[in-house]
Amino acid sequence: MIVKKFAFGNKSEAFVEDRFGTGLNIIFSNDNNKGKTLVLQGLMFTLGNEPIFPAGFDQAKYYFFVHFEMNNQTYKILRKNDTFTVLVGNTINILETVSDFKYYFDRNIYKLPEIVHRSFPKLVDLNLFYQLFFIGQDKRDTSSIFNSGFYNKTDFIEMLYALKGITGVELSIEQIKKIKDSLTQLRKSETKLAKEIDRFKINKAVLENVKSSSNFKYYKEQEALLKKLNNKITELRKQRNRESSRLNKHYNLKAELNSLNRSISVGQVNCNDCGSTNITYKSKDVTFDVSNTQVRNSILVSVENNIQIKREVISRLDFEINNTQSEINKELTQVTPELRDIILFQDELKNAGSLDKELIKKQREIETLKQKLDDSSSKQQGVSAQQEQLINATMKAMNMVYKLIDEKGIQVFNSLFTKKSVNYSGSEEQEFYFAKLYAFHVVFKHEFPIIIDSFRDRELSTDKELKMIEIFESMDNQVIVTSTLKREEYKNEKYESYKSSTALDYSFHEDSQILSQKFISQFNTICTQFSVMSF
Amino acid sequence: MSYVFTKTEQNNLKASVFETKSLLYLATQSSKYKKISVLTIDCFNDVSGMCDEENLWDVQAKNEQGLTPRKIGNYLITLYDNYISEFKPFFQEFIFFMPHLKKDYVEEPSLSCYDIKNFKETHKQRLIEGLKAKANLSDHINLDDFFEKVLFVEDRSEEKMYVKGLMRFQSSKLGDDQFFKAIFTEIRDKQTALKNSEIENIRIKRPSDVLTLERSLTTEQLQVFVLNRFIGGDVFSNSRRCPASYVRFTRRFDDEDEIEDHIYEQNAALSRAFFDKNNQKNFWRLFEAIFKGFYTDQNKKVTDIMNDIRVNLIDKVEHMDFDSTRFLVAMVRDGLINDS
Repeated sequence: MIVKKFAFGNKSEAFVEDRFGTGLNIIFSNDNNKGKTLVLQGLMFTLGNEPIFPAGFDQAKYYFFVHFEMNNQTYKILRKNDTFTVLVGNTINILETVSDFKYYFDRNIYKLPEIVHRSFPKLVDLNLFYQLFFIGQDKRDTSSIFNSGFYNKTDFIEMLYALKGITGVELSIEQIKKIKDSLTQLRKSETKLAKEIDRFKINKAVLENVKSSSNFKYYKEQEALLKKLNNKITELRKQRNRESSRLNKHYNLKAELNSLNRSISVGQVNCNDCGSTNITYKSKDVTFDVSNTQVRNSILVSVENNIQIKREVISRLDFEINNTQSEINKELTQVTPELRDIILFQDELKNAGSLDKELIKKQREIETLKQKLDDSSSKQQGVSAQQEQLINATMKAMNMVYKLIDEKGIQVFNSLFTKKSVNYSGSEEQEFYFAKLYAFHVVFKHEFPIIIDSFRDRELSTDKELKMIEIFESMDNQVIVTSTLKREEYKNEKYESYKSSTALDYSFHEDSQILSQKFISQFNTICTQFSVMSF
Repeated sequence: MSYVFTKTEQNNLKASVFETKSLLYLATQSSKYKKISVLTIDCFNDVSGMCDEENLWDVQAKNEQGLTPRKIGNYLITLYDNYISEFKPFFQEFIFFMPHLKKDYVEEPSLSCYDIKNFKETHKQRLIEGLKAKANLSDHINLDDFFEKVLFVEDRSEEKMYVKGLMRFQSSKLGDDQFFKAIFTEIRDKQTALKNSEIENIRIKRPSDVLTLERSLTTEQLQVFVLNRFIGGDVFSNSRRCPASYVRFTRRFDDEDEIEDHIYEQNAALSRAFFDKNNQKNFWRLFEAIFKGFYTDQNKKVTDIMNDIRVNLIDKVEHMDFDSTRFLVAMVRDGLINDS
């Protein structure tokens, strides 16, 4: 992917950047607030990324435009809020949500990897995918991904596996989490039981009170949970029924259309007015049929497509229903021993031995769950070995390039994300991110540009910076980075003089006023291509 | 055993494709020919355009490889015959429609449309000689007045460009060459079919009398036809989308599911209309009414158009009702590219 042009604005102010070269591009200025971050974040936003704009910038007011080339095809995208207009050749496509755009991207621009997310197969969202080659300036945290929340770093790593086609886990992350949760629960009740046994020996009456009240609370919780799950299932079933009836409608329509397509050959159709058999839309000899084969085929194909989509939707709903159902079943089986608890505690309180029995049972349950976890991780050894290899290769590339920049550096990267307690800072953070993007570039050989906002911030020394630039220059991909220069460096025209790189000086923009009136007519032309008139 | 066809009329296809191109050249909405409302086929010439005031634009199409200026001069004879006919005052322009000429014949090779002055002097003389020889004219006759009205047009566009020129409309089919090819072929076949009547030696008194010969197409017919194809091609192809102009009519539903089902119903109704081979006439009438509504003013609102459409026009189309017609109007409105 080569970015050719980026623009944003509206009818009263705009900015257009069309100087991008195919190699290294350095956007720089001698001061802050010149709009570098706006340009990079705007660029990514146009491509479908989540908006992470600096405070005080209201993105909802503006149109964003990007023109890029990929696989010899030219793409032009215009985005306003969540509406994307894509222009390829003469064809305009309008996508009204980010997720629609994602599917368009997947089908027409670049095949996106699919991961299992929250126990549901899902095309990764663009904001996760773009982290393969884009580092923003804000919200950096070496221990996690950008914008973590809906996705987490496990999903990112899953995505890397998916890119190489080595996904696959016996148990989904969710399931493992569940097992782990119930394990902790069991362990807790194990200790509790042990304690109870102790206390039991001291005061039976107290124990009775405590136990029954806690059981009642648990019972209420269970009840609520089951109710929730049942509601979910009903909702899903309703949805599935609706979709299946739609599917049937499509089938019927297809059959109906085919029957309409036959002209009546039995008997003759006469025109009421003149008795002519030549029924046309004008009483002349010249007439066109209402539709030709091309048109009819395209309608049929589209109906067929819709049938496919509906089928997919239904199968996904089925999957979800089954999942929820088995969740209910599981909850129900878990309830039984608890109910037995109540009986046990009520009836056999006098017998301390029964508590012991219960304890043993819990311990057995703990064993089985533990076994299940172990099994699941040993079953996927084939895949996980490959996955490990992939991570190792990435680590190797990261460490290699780290050594190139920082010969005396003492860091050894051993994971794509740092532990929560460890957070690289200063130059190390910069090197870490750089090394990571570089390694992804080497390992996945992707075609996307490397984009880093403020690549030399945070105390990076001049030597290291120069080495980074050299590495950037040696890459085949387009590279777009930004940097704020110190006065001395600016005077020395630091980047202008640098080899084949393209230096884009933003110093002349007025403070916090990158958008100006002089680009309006240019921006107008851009919007006209998309037939956007009143913007 | 095998048999090779060697005696077929191989030039028919090429020639008719070329004549269709020249037909569409006159029918495209370029401002110069905007007045043309009727296109006659194989009457005055291969193709002639006529406006409501009976002015005529005459086209001779010649798809011959290696055309030389002298040959062009020869072929100008049909145009010249019209020039000296009694209908002379009606003819506005004589157009010679030809393939891309060799560069060295002309002064400015980048032009695709020029008058005789663009020919280099020697070639210009040969061209005039060619015509004079064919028309048995003596050398000193001055043809300046005739050539004043002659326009040479080189065909440099693909078939689909001519179709696109007919109708400025946004459609998901714009990149689909097959789609355009099919439209072009249909127009070509209609054009060819029109020639199958006998009109030789029939005498007419005024240009408009030619309409009685039923060898003409109106530009409106062509435009309605192409527009209809575009709409048809788009039905269901983006089924989840609702035309922007239609959104306000879905406000009465409060459930997204109801909207989806509603949109589905409208698309289904339209596809039925496109598929029903036995009820075409009424659909065309309805479609024409919509087209005419927008023809006068592209900015008309959906409700304006709906108010102008007679109810019985909708009733007669078996598969359409008020809602689906409104949906169709919204589709047309959103697709028409607004020039203003």
